[in-house]
Amino acid sequence: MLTGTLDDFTLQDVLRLIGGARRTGGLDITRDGGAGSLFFRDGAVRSATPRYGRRTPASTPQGAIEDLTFDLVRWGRGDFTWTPGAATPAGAETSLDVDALLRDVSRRLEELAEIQTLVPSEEAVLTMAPQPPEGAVQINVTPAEWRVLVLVDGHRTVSEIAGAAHLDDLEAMKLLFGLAAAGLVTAGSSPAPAPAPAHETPSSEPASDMTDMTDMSAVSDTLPEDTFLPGAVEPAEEPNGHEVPAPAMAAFDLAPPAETPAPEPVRTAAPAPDPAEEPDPFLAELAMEPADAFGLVPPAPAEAHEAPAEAHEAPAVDRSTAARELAGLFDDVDPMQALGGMAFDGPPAPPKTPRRVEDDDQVTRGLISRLIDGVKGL
Amino acid sequence: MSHQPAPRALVRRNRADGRAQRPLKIVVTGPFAAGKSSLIQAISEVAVLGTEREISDDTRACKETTTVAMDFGRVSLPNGLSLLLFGTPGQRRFEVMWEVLSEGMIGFVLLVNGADERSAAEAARQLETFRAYADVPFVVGVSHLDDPGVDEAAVLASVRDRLDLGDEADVVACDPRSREDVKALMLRILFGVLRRLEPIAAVP
Repeated sequence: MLTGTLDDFTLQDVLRLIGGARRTGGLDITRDGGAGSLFFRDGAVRSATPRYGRRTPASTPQGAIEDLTFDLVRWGRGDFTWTPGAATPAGAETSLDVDALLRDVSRRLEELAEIQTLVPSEEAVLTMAPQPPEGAVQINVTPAEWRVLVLVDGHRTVSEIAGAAHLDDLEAMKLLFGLAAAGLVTAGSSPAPAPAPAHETPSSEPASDMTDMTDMSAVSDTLPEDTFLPGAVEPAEEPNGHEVPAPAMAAFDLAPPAETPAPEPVRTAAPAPDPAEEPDPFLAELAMEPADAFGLVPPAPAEAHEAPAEAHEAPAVDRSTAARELAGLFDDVDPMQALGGMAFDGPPAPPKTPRRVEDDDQVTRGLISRLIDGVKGL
Repeated sequence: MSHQPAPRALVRRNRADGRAQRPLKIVVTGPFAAGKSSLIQAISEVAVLGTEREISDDTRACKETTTVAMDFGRVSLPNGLSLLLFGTPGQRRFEVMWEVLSEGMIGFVLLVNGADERSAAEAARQLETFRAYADVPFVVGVSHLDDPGVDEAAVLASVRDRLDLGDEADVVACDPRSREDVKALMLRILFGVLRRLEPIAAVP
């Protein structure tokens, strides 16, 4: 048996030694962040046994070896114990060359270094960007990104976000790096004060009686297992088991841009919205400028919490105002009354000449062909 | 953790000409209780931003809730594109929304309840209105044809006749709860657009 610390030798050095000497046995490593064992036969790594909680364990023996080695390398100091001749545990195994393994680790370390330029560590606290990135007219966020984006609140650390989203810390860092690179989140220095309890709406309760999110169970049945459905997801859990606020309620930004002048008051007999209510995504869509109305404009939760009154200001677009009224914002008010006494006798009169789709310069053959291919691939 | 480059949220900025490529929109319209909300729910991957409300008038005999304002759905395609679906409100008093919803649409689905003769008459008025708003491809989907004893061909012919449509128009049976049926409707519209842009195009 050979024991030592990793102060003088790196884990990479030890692995190269075992591989180069074509040894058979087990290498136990204990480091600050966790522990694990690698098993060798004739210098090749056959299997790995992590002894720490990994939320998304690898599905293949090679993946498990690579994950464990990478985790052990990037964590702090530690000790190792080499047991010559130790048998590989029963179960799935592979044969992985040490040099190939170290090349993989090296690639991952490079990627981690890039990630850390924007997401410094698992203890970093991120906040939502108060404004969309400059020049952005549409923001597309993948389901996985959304899963972490809605947990960014200026209070949780990256590690806490990862826990709530059931991701490994590094997976969360990777997703958050993408969001940070896009200008949607930024790393802060320290956690901000806790949000007001009024905003800790459990996901099982509707944020507003004006918001009826359609039951998505039927839709979710048709989607990949990991598809995130705003308003229909299982509530993520904090590490302590507490539910986090419903993601759907954090997915849209109701507040108009700061520089937008205050619109004229809406003529209505309805009461002012309750500042404690969460934003209604539908209303948020309607409140956006047309160019933004179809993208997922991320919210600025901190701002919305701090200035709820502004978040419910009527949008500047008259049609949107009308739509808000009609959307049932004021259930007990007749829509005609809500629109300030304007009378509508059926649909608005059509234009003299209908718009032709072939005259739409944004509708091109290439785009339609790709849409056809896409629909066929659903 | 895989070692592919870290993914980045897509932030779409204005094109070089200063204009944004807008997502393309298909409107789903039709009379009350034809299945518009179900159709959007069948294919949209985001929570349908519907605003269903309990019905307070005599139409409650047909269904418990109806859509006020609109339904909104998004279909993200495997190749990264997306289609937006907007459903029109079910009750007449919300017809003020029609023009807004029709803006920029590349086509529309007219859904007709094949089990209700009044539905086709109402649909005729909607078809006329939407065709006046925009000269875009459309497809007529006839729903509620799954009742025993329903002669599907006869109903489709009747709907075509009531809508005063020729043989060239697409009038097809459709279960709005069926993802495949909804996909077929989308494809008919998209091929219709393609034919407008390119006279010689494949027929779905």
